[in-house]
Amino acid sequence: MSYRKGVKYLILFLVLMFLNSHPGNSQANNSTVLLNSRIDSLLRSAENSLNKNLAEALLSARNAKRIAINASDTNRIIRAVCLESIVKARTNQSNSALSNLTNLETDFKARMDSASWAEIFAAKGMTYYLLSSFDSSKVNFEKAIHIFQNIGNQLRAGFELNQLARVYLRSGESKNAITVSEESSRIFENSANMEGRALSLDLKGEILKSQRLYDKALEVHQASLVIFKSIHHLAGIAISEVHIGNAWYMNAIDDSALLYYNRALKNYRLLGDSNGIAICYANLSRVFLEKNELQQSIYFANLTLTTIQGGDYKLIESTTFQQLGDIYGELEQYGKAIIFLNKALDLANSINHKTTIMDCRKSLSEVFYSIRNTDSAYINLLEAYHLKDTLQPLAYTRQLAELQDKYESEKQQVVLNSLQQNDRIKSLEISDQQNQINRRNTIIISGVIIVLLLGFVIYLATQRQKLALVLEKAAVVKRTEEKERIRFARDLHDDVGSGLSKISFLSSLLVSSNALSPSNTEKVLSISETSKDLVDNMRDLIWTLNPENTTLENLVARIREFASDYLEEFPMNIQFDFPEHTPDLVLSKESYREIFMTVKECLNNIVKHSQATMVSMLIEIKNEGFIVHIIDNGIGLIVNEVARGNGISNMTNRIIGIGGEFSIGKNSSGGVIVCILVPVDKLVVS
Amino acid sequence: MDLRIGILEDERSIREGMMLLINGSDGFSCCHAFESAEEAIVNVPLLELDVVLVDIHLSGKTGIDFISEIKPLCKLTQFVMFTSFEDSDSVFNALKAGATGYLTKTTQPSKILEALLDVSKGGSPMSSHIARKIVLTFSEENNVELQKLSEREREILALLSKGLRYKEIADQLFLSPETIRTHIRNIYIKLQVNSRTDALNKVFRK
Repeated sequence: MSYRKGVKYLILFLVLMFLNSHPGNSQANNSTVLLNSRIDSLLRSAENSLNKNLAEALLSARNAKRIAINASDTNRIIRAVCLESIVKARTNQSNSALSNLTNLETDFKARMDSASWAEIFAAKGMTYYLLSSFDSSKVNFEKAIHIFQNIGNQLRAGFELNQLARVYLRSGESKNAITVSEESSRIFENSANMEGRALSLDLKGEILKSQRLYDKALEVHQASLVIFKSIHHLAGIAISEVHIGNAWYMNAIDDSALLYYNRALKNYRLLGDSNGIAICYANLSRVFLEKNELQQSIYFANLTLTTIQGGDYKLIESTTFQQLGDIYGELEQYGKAIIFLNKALDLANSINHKTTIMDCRKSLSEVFYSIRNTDSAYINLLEAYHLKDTLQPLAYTRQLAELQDKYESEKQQVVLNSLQQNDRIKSLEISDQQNQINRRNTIIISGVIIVLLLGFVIYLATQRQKLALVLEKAAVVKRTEEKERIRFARDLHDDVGSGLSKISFLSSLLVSSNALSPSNTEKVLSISETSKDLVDNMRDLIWTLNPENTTLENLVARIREFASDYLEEFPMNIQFDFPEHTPDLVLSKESYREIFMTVKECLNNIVKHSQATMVSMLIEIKNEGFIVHIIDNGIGLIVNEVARGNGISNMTNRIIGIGGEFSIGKNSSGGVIVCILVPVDKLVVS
Repeated sequence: MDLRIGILEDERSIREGMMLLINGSDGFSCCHAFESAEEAIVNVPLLELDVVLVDIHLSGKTGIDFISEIKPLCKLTQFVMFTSFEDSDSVFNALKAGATGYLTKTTQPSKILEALLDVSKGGSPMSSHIARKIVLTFSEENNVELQKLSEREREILALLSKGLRYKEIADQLFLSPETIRTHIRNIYIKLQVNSRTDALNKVFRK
C-alpha cells in the first residue's frame, strides 16, 4: 500500500514540476534533460510494476506517454505506448493493443531509432502470442531479437529469446524451443540476472513437461518459484504456481493441483492480470471435471467466461464453452450441451483454430448420437475426421513444399543462366557479322571456351553432388543395417506368419464343422497343428532377436507359461518348483532359444510317449549355473528306443552347443528325469 | 438373447469363415462384418454390438487407430483383437487404446467362442508378456501412476508376469478365478485412463 502511495506522490510531484518548468524557455537545454529523466523514471516504474501491479503499470505508462507527447519525444512515446500495450494485452484487450502498436509504426516510421523498432516488435510478438497467433508472434520476436543483438542489448535479447522459446513450445516445435531456450539461458548465466535465471528455469520446466517428465518438471518449477519469491516478482510467482499446478494435474494429484491453482489465482488478482485469472479458473474447472465434481466444474467454467467475456481471448472462451458442452452432455442435458458446443464452434471458427473445431465436432457428434440424431452425429464426426486428416500431415507437407520450392527455384536458375549465356553469344555473333569480321574467330573461340567452362563447372558440380549422395547413401546403409535385419525378420514373421495362422484357422474351422470323414479329420487336424507349431516357432525366433526379451526372468516365466498352457489339454498334473526371484541377467539369444526349445521338446516327448499322470518341473539358479529338472511318473525309457534316441541326441546337441550339459535317466518312481545345466558365463551375452 | 458379434477383418476367407463359425453356434449371432476400419467407424456406433473382433493389420487405417477412435463412442461394446501373434507390441498398444482382450488366429474355434463369452461377461485375458509390459508402463511414466493400481492388482500383475495362470494365482491368493478376472479388467481400464494425452492438450499453458 505504501508503495502505491509513493508512486502516486511521485507522479503528482513530477506533473507539478512539469507544469512549472514548461514555460522556462531560457533554460531549454536544462529543462529537456530534466524532462527526459522524469519520463525515464516513470517508464522505469511502469516497467517494474509490470511484474507487480498492472493497474499501476498502466497509470505510469500513460503519464509517461502524456509528458513525452508534449515534449514530442518520439522514442520515449514509443516506449510508453509499448508498455501500455503489453498491459492491455495481458488484460484482455489484445486487439486494441495491436492497433495501437500498428499506429505507432505508421505514425513515427521516419523518426524511430532501432531500439524503438525492437520495442515495437517485442510488444507485437507478445500480443500475437496472447492472441494465439503463433506464426506472427515468432516473426516479431525474431525481428526484435535481431535488433537487440545488433545494438548490443544482450539482456533484452535474452528476455525476448526466452519468450520466443515459449512460442515455439506452444506451437509444438519443441526442437526449436530447446535451441532458443539454451541461447537465452546462456545470456542470463553470463549476466547473472536473477529474473532471467528464474524465467530460464520456468521454461526448462515447460520443456520437461512437454516431454512428459512431470516429476522433473515439478522440481524445476519449484526452484524457479523460489527465485521469483526472493526477488518479489509477482507475475513470475503466479506463472510458476500455475505451472506447478499443471504438473500436479498431470501426475493425477488433483488436490495439490487445486492448491497451486488457487495460490496462482490469488496472485493474479493482486497483479490485476485478467488473462492469468481466466487461466486459473479454466484449470480449476478442468480439475473438478477430473474429480467428477461436475457442479463445481460448471461454476468455474462460468467464472472463466465472465472474466473474459467480450474480450480477445477467443481461444480460452471457445475451449471453455466446449468443456461446458461436454459436462452437460455427461449430465444428459443435451439441449444445453448443443447450445454451448455450437457457441464454442462459432468462436473456434472465427479464430480458425482447427484442433478446437475438431474437438467441438467430436463432442457434437457424441451428443447427437446420444439423442439418436444419427444424421447430425454422422455429419459432425465426418467433419472431425476430415479436420484430423488435414491437421496431422501439416508439418510434413509444409516441409515437402519447402523442399520442392527450393528444388524448383534451383532448376529455374540453371535454365535461366544457360538461356542468358545463349543470348549473349548470339548478340555477339550478330555484331561480329555486321562490323568486324576479323574478330569473329576470337569471339567464337571465346564463346566455345565459355560454353566449355560452363560445361566443366556444371560437370564438377554434379560430380560433387554425386559424391555427396554416395557418401550419404553409405552412411544410411550402415545405420540401417542393424534395423534392416530385424525388419526383415519381422516382415517374414508378418507375411509368412499371418499366412500360416490363416491356414491354421481355416483348417481348424473345417475340423469343427464336422463335415469331414474321420480319416480326413485327422489329416486336416495335422495341417492345423503343424501350421500352429510353425507360427509358434517363428514367433520365438523373432522374439529372441530383441535383447529386451531375452532376460532370465523372461525365460523362466515363458517356460512356466508354456508348460501350463501345453499340458492343460492332457490328463496330467503339473507341479512347479520355481525360484521366487531370478537374478537380472540378459541371456544370449542362442542360449535363450536352445534352452526353451529343449524344454518344449521334452514336454512334447512326455505327452507323446510317457503315459505319465504327473510332471514336476524344478528350476534352480546355483553357483554351477542355471538348472532345469523335468521329472515324470510315466513308463520310462523302454518304449520305442530308436525314435526317442533321435530326439535325445537332438536335445543333447542343442544344450552342448551352448556350452551346457544335458542328461536323461530313470528316476525312483520308474519315470524319466531330464536335467539341463548351463553355466552362468555361457548363458549371458559375451 | 444371442450375443451380438461384429467382425473387422480384411481377409475375405477368414471373415466369412468366422461368420460361419459364429452363426453356426448357439447363443451367438453375427450379422455385421467389415472389410476396413473406415467402413466400421461409420457403422459400428449405430449398431448395438456386444463384442467386435478386430484384426490389427488392415489395408487402410489400422485396427489400433480404429479402437482408439471408436471406443469413446461405443462404451458398452467390447473390442477384442484378433491377430496372428500375441506377443507383438501392437497387441499391447491396442489394449492401451481400449481393447479388452486379444485372440490369436491359431486359437481353436471352440476356445474362440469361449473367449467371446468370457469377454462379454467382463473377463479379459492377459499373458505374462503383456503383464510385464503393463508393470513397465505404470512404473516408467511416473511412480504416481503406479499408485493408481491397488495392492491386489499389483500383486496379480507380478504373479502373471512370472508366468502363472489365472487358476494358479487364484489358488495362491485364496480368491476365485472370477475375482482375478475382474481385477485384470480393472487393470486394463486403468491402462486406458493412463494415456491422458487428451487431457494434456486441454490444460491451458501460459
